[in-house]
Amino acid sequence: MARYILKRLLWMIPVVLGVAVLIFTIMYFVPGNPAAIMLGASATPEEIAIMEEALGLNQPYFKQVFDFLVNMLHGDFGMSYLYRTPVITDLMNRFPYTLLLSLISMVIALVVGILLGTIAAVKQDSWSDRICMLISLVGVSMPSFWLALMLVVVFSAELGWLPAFGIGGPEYYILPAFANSLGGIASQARQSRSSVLEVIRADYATTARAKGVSERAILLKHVLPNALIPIVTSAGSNFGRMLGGTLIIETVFSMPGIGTYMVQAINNRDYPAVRGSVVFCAIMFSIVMLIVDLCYAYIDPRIKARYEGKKRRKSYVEKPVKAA
Amino acid sequence: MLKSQSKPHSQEQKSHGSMYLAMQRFARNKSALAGLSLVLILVVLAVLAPWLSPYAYEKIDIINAFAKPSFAHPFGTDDLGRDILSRMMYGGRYSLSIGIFSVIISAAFGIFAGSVAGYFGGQIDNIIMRLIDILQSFPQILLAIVISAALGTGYDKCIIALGISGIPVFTRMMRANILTIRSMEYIEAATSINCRDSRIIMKHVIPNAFSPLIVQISLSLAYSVLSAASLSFIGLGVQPPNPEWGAMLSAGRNYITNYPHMVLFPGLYIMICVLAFNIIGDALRDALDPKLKR
Amino acid sequence: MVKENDFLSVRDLVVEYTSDGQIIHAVNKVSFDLERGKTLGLVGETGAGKTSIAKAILRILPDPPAKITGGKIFLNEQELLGLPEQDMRKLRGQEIAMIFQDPMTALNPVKRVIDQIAEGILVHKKVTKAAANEQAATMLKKVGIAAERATEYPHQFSGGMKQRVVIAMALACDPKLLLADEPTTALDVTIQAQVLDMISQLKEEFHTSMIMITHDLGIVADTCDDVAVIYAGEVIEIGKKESVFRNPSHPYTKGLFGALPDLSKNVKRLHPIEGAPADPTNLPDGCCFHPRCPHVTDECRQGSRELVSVNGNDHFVRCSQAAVREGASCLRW
Repeated sequence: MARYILKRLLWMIPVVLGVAVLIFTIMYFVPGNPAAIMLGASATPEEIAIMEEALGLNQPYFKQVFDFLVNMLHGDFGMSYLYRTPVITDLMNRFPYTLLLSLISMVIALVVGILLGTIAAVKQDSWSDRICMLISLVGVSMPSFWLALMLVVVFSAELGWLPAFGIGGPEYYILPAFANSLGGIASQARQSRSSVLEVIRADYATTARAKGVSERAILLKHVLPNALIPIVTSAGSNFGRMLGGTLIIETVFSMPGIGTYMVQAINNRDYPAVRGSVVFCAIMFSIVMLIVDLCYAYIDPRIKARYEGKKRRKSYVEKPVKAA
Repeated sequence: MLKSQSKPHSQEQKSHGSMYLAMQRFARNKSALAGLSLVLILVVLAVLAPWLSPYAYEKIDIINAFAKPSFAHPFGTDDLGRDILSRMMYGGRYSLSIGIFSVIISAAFGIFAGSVAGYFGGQIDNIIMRLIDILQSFPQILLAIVISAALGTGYDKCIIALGISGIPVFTRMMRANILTIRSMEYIEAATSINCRDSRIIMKHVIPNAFSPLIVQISLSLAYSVLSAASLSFIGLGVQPPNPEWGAMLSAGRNYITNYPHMVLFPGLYIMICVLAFNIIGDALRDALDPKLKR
Repeated sequence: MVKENDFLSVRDLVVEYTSDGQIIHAVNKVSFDLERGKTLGLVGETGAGKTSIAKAILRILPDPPAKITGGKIFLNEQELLGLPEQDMRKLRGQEIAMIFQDPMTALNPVKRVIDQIAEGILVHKKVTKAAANEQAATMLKKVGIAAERATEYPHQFSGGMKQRVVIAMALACDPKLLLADEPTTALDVTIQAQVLDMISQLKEEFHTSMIMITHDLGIVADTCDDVAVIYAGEVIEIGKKESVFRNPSHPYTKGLFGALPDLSKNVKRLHPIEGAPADPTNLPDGCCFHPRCPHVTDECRQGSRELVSVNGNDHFVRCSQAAVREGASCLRW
């Protein structure tokens, strides 16, 4: 097991470096002169030239990339053009809100989604099944930011129960979490349903029935543990969707997280801030994926065995992915 | 004698290909047909918008600004008095075409990359999959945001951004299909009777990889329309005054406390469109699932 | 007419599957008896309905597609099909147990082998977990699996050993009736012999009655006392093994024996049975076998057949021609 953990950790490094290079390169080709933007419209050509020198913009591409990577490994993402503060400081101040909202949304999506999906599967083709699936279908199709706005209209403007923006106590997270997680609940419910359906007719469930085990015990001890395996496998990419959704929901509720920071930076051509935000999010995402992979290896004894000695080729059979 | 004449239809059905059976199953699925009709209606409304919409989408009418839904303006008007229903219909042109073109880009590049990786294996496979890993180490929408931020705003840039961010999904799927199919026994069988590589690809690999792909294309369409709206909402993608649905939501944001109809209807419209694509995707998946084949 | 020694009596069992609006007649009025301590072989082709019969006795048929639409099953004079589910559950595993066909999928991949056996024990007996584990370990030893391996997972065992685990699971609570559904079909021949031997041994030790479902006549010869031949969901021939083997009377049974390759003869081709198995959604009128029968007459095409005796009370066959040929005497059911 330790070997597996080490292997995965080491693997993260080239990926993160690759991400950084990719983002840097994408932003490199953006038109416009960062120095000129920073100094504003009234700057003289000499001032711009000095600034370019200071920012290292005259150097060849590879040197810039290299510097960027080296700085990044020291935790330095440069200075924000807009705020003149180190990007890393801003990010560290803001990421807790983003992370918190993403995690809350993910937990809600998992718990409620798995519950709904299991109920729908156990009562297959009944009314509860159809209703659950209809709600899920609608949930996956709904733009989360639209839902957020509608929730604000109803609960903030009309009823005044919950705040519409900012952060503070738990009541500030209720609307954002709900709006963000509905899509996740829906897709998790659909996935759980199909996973449970596959397992509930499995041979080992029949074997358990033949032993006289009650349906409820079969569900809890045989069906769910096996049905949860594919769910855990995709929990990582589900988190990715929650993270992406969080970035946008933050703008609706004016939460001081990475999302609002990044959108502002984009609109103001604050490239170091954009670069830093994106790479930071990628790192956060990779860490969560790593944790998920470790959980997955732990709960499925077949995978555990694979990394404790035996060698076997992994076969990818992937089902269509609903990226919403 | 009577027995052979009354041979049931099932005997004849067996001679039809699996595609035909799948289409039959699809046609029998009521919600699938509903989804399909919905999409067709939206497409027709979008394409024929100039003739069908009650008003021109850019027609400004300040006197009637912020009008609540009424007979004259079924969805109300926005801050400049423009009829929201007309703008929604026109907006379909943007959202639907962005969705379609971006999925075409994702699918084309993704299928190609995935096929190459899956078929040739070895180092080529390694390189391609590492690149895909890097692309997938952020959430798909974030990748679209970054590319959009770099390229700038606008219709075609939005298509490119969404198209690129969707490539990994298709690559992985195509590669997984090819790998699975390659190890299937019917490929071994074909090779053992000396079938040429190209024939194997045409006759065996592609038809079997086809089904999950069709389903994925439909689901990606749904996601694309949603993402396009999201991009426009945060200020990337299509800009006002173009009536793209996400841009309309963004513009209406400031007025939600007093005039929620400006946000309600565009959002509903988006949802119905995405819902239709999702319904079709689900129905396709059910129709093409080999486990359901009789 | 349930005899005293009869432990299990099945009368006119009917099982139907519904699929996409079509009804599949899987089991059509099957009747047989089983004495205590004896083994009945159910022989037939794949899809003849044998597994459905076994699952119907345990009432574990998958309920949306399958339904028991008729008949009665008596176990020790208790009628099973009318029992409430709770009472049926008490019988499952304890009085009646089943060994499944495919050992690769019959075990839960994420549970340890010893836990899966102990589960059956804990359901029926009020013992502590530790005691159940101990009993499970003893059971495993009986089937030849060392104690050290008891805490391993199914994927760590080979096919033959997995099947032994399944057998241990079935016999853990000392059931009176064992339903063995092709227990060795998924295994290779050398392991087959071992597993069959083990089943016989355990059967002797616990004095269990057994129904052995198989399509292999060799296994029937080895392990069974009585044999019933199933075709298209009907019992077409039933009787003591010696009588049926010495004198197969139904054309289908004759065909089965005739299709066996014989090392002592020098033939170029095997003799299959002409035609294809009956379509359970569209069964022929009259005798279910008549489209394939070489001796078919007009009488065979209409009406239903009764079982007629060809050897006292030891051997019955469902064939009008046999009745004519052998000078049929009495009906059994």
